[in-house]
Amino acid sequence: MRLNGGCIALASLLLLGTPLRGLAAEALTLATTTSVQDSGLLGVLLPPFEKQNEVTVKVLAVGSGQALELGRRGDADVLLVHSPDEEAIFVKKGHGLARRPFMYNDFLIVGPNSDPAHIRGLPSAASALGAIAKAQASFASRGDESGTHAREKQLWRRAEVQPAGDWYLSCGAGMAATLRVADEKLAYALADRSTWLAWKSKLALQPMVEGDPVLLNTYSVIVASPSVRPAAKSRLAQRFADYVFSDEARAIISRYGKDKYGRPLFHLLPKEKAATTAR
Amino acid sequence: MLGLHARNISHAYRGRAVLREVTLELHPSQRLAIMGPNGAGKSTLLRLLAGLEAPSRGKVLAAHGGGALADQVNLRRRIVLVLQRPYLLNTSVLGNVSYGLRVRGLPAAVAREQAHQVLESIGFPAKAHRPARTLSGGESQLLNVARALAIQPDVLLLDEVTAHLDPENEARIEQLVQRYVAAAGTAMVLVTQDLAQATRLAAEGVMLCDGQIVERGRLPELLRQPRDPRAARFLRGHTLQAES
Amino acid sequence: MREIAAAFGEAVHLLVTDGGDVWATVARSLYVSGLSVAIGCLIGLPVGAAVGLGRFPGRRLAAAVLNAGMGLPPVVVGLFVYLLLSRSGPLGFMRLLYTPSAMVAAQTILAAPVVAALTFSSLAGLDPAARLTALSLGATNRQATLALLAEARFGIGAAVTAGFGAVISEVGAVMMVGGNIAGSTRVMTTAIMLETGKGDFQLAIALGIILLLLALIVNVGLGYLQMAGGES
Repeated sequence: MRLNGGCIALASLLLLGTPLRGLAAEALTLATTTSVQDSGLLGVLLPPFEKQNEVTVKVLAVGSGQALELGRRGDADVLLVHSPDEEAIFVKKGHGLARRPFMYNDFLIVGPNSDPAHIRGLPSAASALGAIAKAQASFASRGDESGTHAREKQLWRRAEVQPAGDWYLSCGAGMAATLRVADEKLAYALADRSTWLAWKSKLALQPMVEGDPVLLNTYSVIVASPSVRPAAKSRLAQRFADYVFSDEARAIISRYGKDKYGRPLFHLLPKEKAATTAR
Repeated sequence: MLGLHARNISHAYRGRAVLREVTLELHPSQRLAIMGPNGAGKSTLLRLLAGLEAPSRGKVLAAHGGGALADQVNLRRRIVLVLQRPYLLNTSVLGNVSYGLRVRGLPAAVAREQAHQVLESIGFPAKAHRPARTLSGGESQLLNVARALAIQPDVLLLDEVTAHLDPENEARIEQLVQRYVAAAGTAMVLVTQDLAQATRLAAEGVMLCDGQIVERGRLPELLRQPRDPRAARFLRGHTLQAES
Repeated sequence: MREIAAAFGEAVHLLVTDGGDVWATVARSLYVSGLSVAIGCLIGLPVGAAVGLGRFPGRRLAAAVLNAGMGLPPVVVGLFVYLLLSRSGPLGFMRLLYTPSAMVAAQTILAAPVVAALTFSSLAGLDPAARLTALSLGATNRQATLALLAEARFGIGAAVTAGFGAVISEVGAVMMVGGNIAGSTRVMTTAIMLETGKGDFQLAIALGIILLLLALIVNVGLGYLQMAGGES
C-alpha cells in the first residue's frame, strides 16, 4: 500500500522537477573554433538570440577544419569559422549555403623576450618564419588543422620552408594551450589577436611581428547544407546567420573587449559588403 | 654438541603472563618431553628455547655459557624448531628442504645435493621437483620434519608434530626422528599431549601447567606418580591414552 | 558505417607500414609508462613491504593511507605536477613542463601507490607462520624478509602489473603535463584523443587496437598472477 503511494509521489516529483525549458526549447548546434570560444565573444553574442528565439545554442568548439567536417557530416547546423580557402571549397562542394564574412581580426607572431631569431619588428610574417627556421628557434604550432594552423602553414609555404625538427613543436591543441606551451618552452607562436589579448597578461611572451596584411583573419558564418539537416534546424540556422548581421549583434561585436582590453577584439566588416553574398 | 639452559625465565604476551619463573636445563643428547594442558605455555617455551624470541625476564643460554641465545645467530642456527602445522614455502619440495642449508651460506649446488639425500632417506626422491603445496597432510608434515633434520641441528625442538596425523604417518615421523636422534646424538625436546609418544621417544619429561614446571622426572615414572595436584589432574584425563 | 569500416582497414595498413609514426608513439607510451612503473616500484615495493611486514604503532593508519593512494584521480595528479613544474611554480626553473620527464613524474605518482598498496596487501596477507618458519630454519631477519618476499612473489608481480595497467591507459595527467606535442610528448592515449577530435579516425583506431591489446595482456597477466598467488 505504502509502496504504491511512494511510487506515485516519486513519479510526480520527477515530472515536476524536469526543467520545463529543456522540454520546450529547441537546440541549435553551432560548430566554431576554439579561438572564438576562448575569446568569450559567444558568451555575450548568443544569449539575446537564444532568448528571442527560445532556443539553446549548443557550441562545439574545435578547429576550423574540424568544424567544417562537422558541418559536412551534418553534426552541426551552423558554422562560425575563419579559414577562407577551405570555406570556399566547402561551399563550392555544396556542403553549406553561402559563406557570409562578418568580422575580422588579425594574427600576430609572438615570442620570448630574448628573441633568439631576431624577428622583432620585421614587416613580413613569412620572412620572420624563415628566420625562425634558419635559427632553429623553438616554434609552437597549433598542429590541429585549425584556421590558425592553416594560416601558419600558408606562411611556411611563402617562406619556402618545410618546418620539421626538434625546434618545431606540433601541439595538437587550442590557441590558449599552444600559447602556454610556447610560454613554457620560450618558443615563438602564431596567435590570433583575440586569444592573445585575453591571455597576454598571463604570459611572458611578447608581440614580435604584426600588421602584415597576410595576417588578417576573416570570420564567416555558414549555414550547413539543408540536405543534411532537418528542415526546422536549417530554418533556425538561417535565423542565426541573419541575427549575426543584425544591428544588435553588430553592436555587441564592436563593443566586445573594449572595457577589458582597451580595444575591441574584433572588427566588423562593412554591412553592405557582407549583404551582397548570396542569400 | 650443544646444550641449553633456560634460567628463571618469565614471559608475558600481550600483557598476559605465559611463563612464570621456568628453569630448565637441556644437556647435549638429552631427550626431553614437555607435557601439559593446552594453554600451559609449551609452544612459547619452545620458541624461547629456539632463541626466536627473548624472554621478558630471565635468559636462555647455551649450556657452556656465553650470552643470551636470542642475540647469537650462529648459536641459534644449531637449533631448529619444527611447528605443529607445517608452513611449506611456496616452492618445490627440494626448495623447502634446501632452504635451511641455503640460509646458512651453503652454495646452492651443495645444498641441493644434500637435500636430495635427505629426500631419499625419507622415501620421496621422486617428488623433489613437485610444488611442496601439492603434498598431502601426512607428507607435508614429513617434509616439515625432514627439512629441519636436513640442517643437522644440535638441538631439535618438536611442537606436537604428530597431533593431526593418522597412526601410519605418526609412526613414520616417529621413526624418522628416532633414527636421526640416535645416529647424530642430537638433543631433543618434544612437546606432546600423547603420553605414550612421550614415553616412546624421550627419557625424561617435565609437566608444564599454567606457565610453571610442576613436575620433573624420568619417564615413565613421572607419569605414574605425580606429586603436584595439577599434574595429577592432567594425567587422569589422559590415563586411557597412556595405557594404550 | 562504411566510413568507419574503411578507417579500420586504413588503421591496419598504418600498423603494417608504420604510417603516422604509429610505432614511435607506441614506443613512447611504453617508455613513459614503463619508466614510471619502474620508479614507482623502487618507491612502492619497499614502502609496501615495510608496512606489510612491519609491526609498529600507526601501522593501520599507514595501511589506510596506502589504500587511499590507489584512488588518486589522474587529473588531480596532473594538476599538481603542472603547478609544480610550470614556470611560475616552485620547480619551474627545471624547465620540465611539456617534456616526457614531466609525464614520467606524474605517472610515477600514480603508479607508486598502486604498487605499494598491493604489495602491502599481499605481504600482510601472508600466513604469520611463514616468518616464524623461516626464522626457525635459521634465517636472519634479513633473510626471513627475503623469504617472505619470495613467498608473496605472485602478489608482488600482480602489484607491478596493476601499476602498469593504471598508467598505460591514462590520459589526463600526461595530457596536462606533457602537452601532447608531436614527436616529443605525444603518447597513445593523447594521440587517440587528438585524432578523434580531428575526425581522423585511422590513426586513432590503429593506436586504439594496440592499446586494447596491451590492456588485455596486462589484465590477463594480472588475473593469472593473482590466481597463482591465491592457489598457494
